[in-house]
Amino acid sequence: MSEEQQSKESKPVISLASANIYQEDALILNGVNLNVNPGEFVYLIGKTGSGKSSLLKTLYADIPLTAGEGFINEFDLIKLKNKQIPFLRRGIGIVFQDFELLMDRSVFENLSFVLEATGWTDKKKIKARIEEVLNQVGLDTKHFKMPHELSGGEQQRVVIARALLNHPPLILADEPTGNLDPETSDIIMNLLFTINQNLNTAVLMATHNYTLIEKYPGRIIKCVDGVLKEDETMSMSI
Amino acid sequence: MSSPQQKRPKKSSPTYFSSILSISLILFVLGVIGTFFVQSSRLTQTLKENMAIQLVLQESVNESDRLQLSKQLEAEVFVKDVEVIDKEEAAALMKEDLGEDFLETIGYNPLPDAIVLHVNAVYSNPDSLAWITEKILSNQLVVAVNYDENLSKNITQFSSKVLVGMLIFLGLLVLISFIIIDNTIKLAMFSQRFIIRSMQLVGAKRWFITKPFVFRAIFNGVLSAVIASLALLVNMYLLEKYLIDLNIFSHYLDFLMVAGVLLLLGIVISLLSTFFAVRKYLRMKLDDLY
Repeated sequence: MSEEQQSKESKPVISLASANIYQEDALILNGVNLNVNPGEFVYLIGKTGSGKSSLLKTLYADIPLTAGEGFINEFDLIKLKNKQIPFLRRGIGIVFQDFELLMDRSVFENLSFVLEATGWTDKKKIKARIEEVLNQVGLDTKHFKMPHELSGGEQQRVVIARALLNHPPLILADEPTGNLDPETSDIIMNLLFTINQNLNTAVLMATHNYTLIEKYPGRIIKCVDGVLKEDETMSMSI
Repeated sequence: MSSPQQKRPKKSSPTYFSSILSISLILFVLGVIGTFFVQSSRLTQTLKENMAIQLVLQESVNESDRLQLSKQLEAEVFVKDVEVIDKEEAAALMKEDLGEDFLETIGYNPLPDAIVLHVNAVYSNPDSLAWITEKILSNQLVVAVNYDENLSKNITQFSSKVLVGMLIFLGLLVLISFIIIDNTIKLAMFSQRFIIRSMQLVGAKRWFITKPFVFRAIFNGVLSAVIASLALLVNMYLLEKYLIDLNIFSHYLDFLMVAGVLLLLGIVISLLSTFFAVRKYLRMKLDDLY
């Protein structure tokens, strides 16, 4: 491995310093300091409304960062221009609680939209890459299904496949199991965990499903009383 | 693999169908009014060009002079056509009008040679006719220029009033059409707002998201204009066949002009509305989308 690659590897994929996270005009998290390194698996826990989602939205620039410092894969969140937002998002695989699939087109078209939107033109390569990611999430037979023909767990796996398309160094998951039953949740978690292990993709996952955390241990960060805290005790107890 | 769920209605098609339908209907109404406008302006044009201007020539003018003069006049931009009437023809016309042979009563033909000319519609108004008269009179051969000044004044006033009225009406109608079509399209795009947002979240650039909607809008605009034009054509045909003889089809260029304007309006309105609707949803935050 070359030196340049090594230094890139060791650089955090998320780096926030004294960042203030707002929801609309209300300050919801104050002075956030957070570093996530390549290949780390990080849980973000906290009650509903504690700012988990707002923090993730700030990371993928759905909410602008106005105070403090913030870097995502070399992108400076403070100086980020509207035109750069698509490029920032291409470096992040985002998994949403409500899937955000394009409901008017098939699984294959959902995935090919992303590839074409991010500059892929070779139809053969597009097809090959889609088959590869669908294989990774175990959905290789569902190419031509419409999203509404799939179960919730299958839809979420399509979303994860979509997140993997461009080999992002970071996956942000906002309550990915929020709408799923325990068995399906386990499949999704297993998948995220395997991706994290095998592809060295950093995962930051917001959740309040503590059973999953016990089964799939990782670093835990807590949103509580308007601040972000490293939860050593819980990490320890696991 | 096939399940009963396989039947999958594409969610987006019904909204496109209704917007194409309403754009077509509105363009059709615009087309009817537009055709009416074109026909009435053709009518005033005919009225204007039918107004005769009579040039009374000197007694001494001979045939070759008359011909030369008529050639000269025909070359003028304002002249539509020129007709030479010598005194014999004039007498014959008058005899027909009066119903008696006045030549016998008087014993000689008192009528002068004359040239009757018609001017093009744009010159057929009191102002232009005044300088045209002056210009013609500068020719030594012409003694007098006669035309019905009152008639000219009336036609001009009438046609300009009709023109202004129709233009205001048409302008208003275009504006109303714009608003209605814009609302229809906004409604259709409203159903696409979450798809637009999802596209943004996976890192698609604005133009990449907007492009297919814009192409679809152009297609819808063209399709609507074609439907409206065909409907207009059918209606004109039925009107012509069963009700009144408008002679509409002899002026097929008029129809093409109206159809062309409809095509242009259809594309422009559909394109602009779609573009701005998509841009609006691109700028919106998630909470505003609900």
